[in-house]
Amino acid sequence: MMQKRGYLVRVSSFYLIIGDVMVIGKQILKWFLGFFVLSFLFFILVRTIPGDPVHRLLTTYQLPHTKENIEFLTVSFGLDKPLWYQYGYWISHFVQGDWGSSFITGRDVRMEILRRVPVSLAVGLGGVLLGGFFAFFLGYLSACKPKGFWDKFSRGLTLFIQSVPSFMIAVFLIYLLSVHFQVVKIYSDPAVAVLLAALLVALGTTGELCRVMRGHFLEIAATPYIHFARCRGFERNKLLLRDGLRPALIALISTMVGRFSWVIGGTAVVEFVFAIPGVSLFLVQSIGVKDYNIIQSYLLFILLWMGMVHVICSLFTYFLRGGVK
Amino acid sequence: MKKFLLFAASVVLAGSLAACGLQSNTSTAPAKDGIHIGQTWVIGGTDPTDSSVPWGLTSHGVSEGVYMLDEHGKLVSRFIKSMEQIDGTHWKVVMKEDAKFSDGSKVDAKALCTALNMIQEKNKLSNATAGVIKFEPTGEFALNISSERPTMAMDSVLAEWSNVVFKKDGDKFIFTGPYQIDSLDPENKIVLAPNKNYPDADKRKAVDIRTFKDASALKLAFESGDIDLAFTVTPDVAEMLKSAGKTVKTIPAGYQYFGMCNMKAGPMSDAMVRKAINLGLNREDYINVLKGGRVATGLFASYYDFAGKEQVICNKEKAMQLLEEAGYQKDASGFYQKDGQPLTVRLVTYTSRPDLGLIVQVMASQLQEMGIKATSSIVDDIDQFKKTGAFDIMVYAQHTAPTGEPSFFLNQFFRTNEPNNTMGYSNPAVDALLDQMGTEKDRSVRNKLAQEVQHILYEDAPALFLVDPDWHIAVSDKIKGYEPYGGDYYIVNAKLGF
Repeated sequence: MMQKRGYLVRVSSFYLIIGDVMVIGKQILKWFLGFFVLSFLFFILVRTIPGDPVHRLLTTYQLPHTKENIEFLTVSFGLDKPLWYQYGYWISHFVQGDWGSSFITGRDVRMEILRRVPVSLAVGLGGVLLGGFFAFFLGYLSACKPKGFWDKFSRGLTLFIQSVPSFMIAVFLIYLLSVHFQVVKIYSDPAVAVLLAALLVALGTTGELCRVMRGHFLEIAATPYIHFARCRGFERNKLLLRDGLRPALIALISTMVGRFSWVIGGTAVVEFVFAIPGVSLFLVQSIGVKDYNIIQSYLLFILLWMGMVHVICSLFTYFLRGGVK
Repeated sequence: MKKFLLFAASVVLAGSLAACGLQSNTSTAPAKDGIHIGQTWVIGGTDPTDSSVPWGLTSHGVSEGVYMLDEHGKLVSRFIKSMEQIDGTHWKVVMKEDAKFSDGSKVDAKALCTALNMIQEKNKLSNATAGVIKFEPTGEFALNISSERPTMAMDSVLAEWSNVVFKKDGDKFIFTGPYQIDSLDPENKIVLAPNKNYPDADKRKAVDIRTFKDASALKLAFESGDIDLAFTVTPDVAEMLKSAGKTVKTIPAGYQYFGMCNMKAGPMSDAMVRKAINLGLNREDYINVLKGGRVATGLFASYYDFAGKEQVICNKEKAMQLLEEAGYQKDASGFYQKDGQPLTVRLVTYTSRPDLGLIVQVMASQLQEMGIKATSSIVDDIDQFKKTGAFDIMVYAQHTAPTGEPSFFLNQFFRTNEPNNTMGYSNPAVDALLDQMGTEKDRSVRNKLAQEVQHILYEDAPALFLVDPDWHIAVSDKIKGYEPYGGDYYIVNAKLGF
């Protein structure tokens, strides 16, 4: 009897593992398919941007737009080949780690993007994570006492963030600290510039997410298990932070996932104002000169980045749910 | 769970601070007590055969062109003593013997030829004007030059930004300019040390150049004292800085703003209409709205010997009289029409030069005042748009003589059937003068011919001379004596900080 039970357990475990492997395999297949379909869409999208890099390059370097020069550059860039061939060449090399060269500078695109990623991550990811952290607690404090000080403060902050452009806040902050009071040399010390830029992104994120978190905490406060615990004499606000922590964190992660898409390349405004040499600046310049290889590679890089973010966030959510899928 | 929260918070804070630390470590150290420059770009590499890198190297004061423009717009060379033209494609050159690389070795014929041949081979952009040019040493300080296509202005060809003097030592490149590279954070920051083998090296200080893509950031960095030189600031910012007691230098940009008329179709194909509009436009209004610059007297910046000498005047009454002579009559609403068709002019310009958009707006209102209906549009890619021919006047900006030679621009834009002759202009007299410029060896004669061409162009009005614009450069008291010239070609020049 015991032997039979052990056999059944082994068989059911085996099927469970097979099931898990199939689910993971299905997900990987889905990602692969999505990757190639989106890479093709990105390629077409980039090629439909008005203008072409050949004329842009000749104009940029003040060279004559002669037939010979145009032909030479068109052939050099591989733009004389049919579109399907250009796509095939690009994607087959991309997956092997060769992202091509910039049309304008001739430099390796992969190196150019990757060397700018750390500083953009410091500003974008650092700012979003800090913002998420502050939004979580501001949302909690607002939900603790609706219409109280923190609730009014968070409402004011959200209104301020939504109505005043981040560019203006940045310029004002720099003027105050660097020009008027001369407390710090923002443009002489890159670390100070990055820290202030990250704090500015954090401020924006806090302003946008704190009201969302407040709403989540209020929803959690109205759940039956919190209500039941309160009936047993537990304090509401302590319950929110103790028993409501997991669902609130899950809500925070779900809300923040979308914001991770722009942490690399989406902080152009602060990079411009603080003169930080990140990916955002690079991307804006590349779009301006129609540097196809850079724009396409950046979009695919973001796709890979978002894939990674989704995996990490799913894992976090999985553990927060106590291993429940 | 509290532990988890504390851990997550620590990770977030530590991550942010570590990232800041990483950025701090990767950036190059600022040159203390040196000169700090802020501008819109910094070179991305040091290979002088790589696309536009030599342009940047020369602008940063690291490399030198074989020929360069001086502050008066004249071509000068630290390397070439004399150049004798044998025929349209061959030259004999005698070199100066005192120029040195930054490692102390002499710039002799062998080194110069090796560098220039390498540029011709690797940087195809250097073949744009005279085809492939070959350099062959014939002595320690003598060489021969032969070009694929004929040219009468080899000195100007050698002044093109691609032709810089360098030598390769392993993976390193060694140059001859007043400064040498101490460290480079590509496209972000470069730190320069004085080149000890360049004359007056002991008078120079260390220099660092940083990239600022945002005009406000550049202004704030200058005001806070983070930079000593802001290259360039907008006219508005220049006024604000001046009123705050700061020093702002104003120089001719070298670029020219002009309006190309579509002579292939539409109202501008009528010579009388072109003349009328040329007379009716008040260029002073453009200067006012741009807060600087001069009324253009031709197609080249005022500091060149070959700059045009036309007196561009505004006479609205005469302009309207010309329109009436051309058969146009004002209708009841005060607008000109001919055979029931209103006189409508389509103005177009492009986004990358904000000044041009302002000019187009003012021009449209000036035309309306004259009784001409005007529409205006701003396109993203003017090079593509001009192929459509869907315009009557295209307001355009171009550095018309970056090598100090007028014939390249005049040939490209005004010779019959040339690719950049968007106007469809054709005048045998202009073609003949351009032919003459192509065979004339004497530069002063070529300059006079260029002025003759500009006079004909003013009379024919295929292009309307508009503005000879200025650039504004803010400098701190530390470098008050700095005299910028040559647009952005020589920002760090040999006299910086003297």
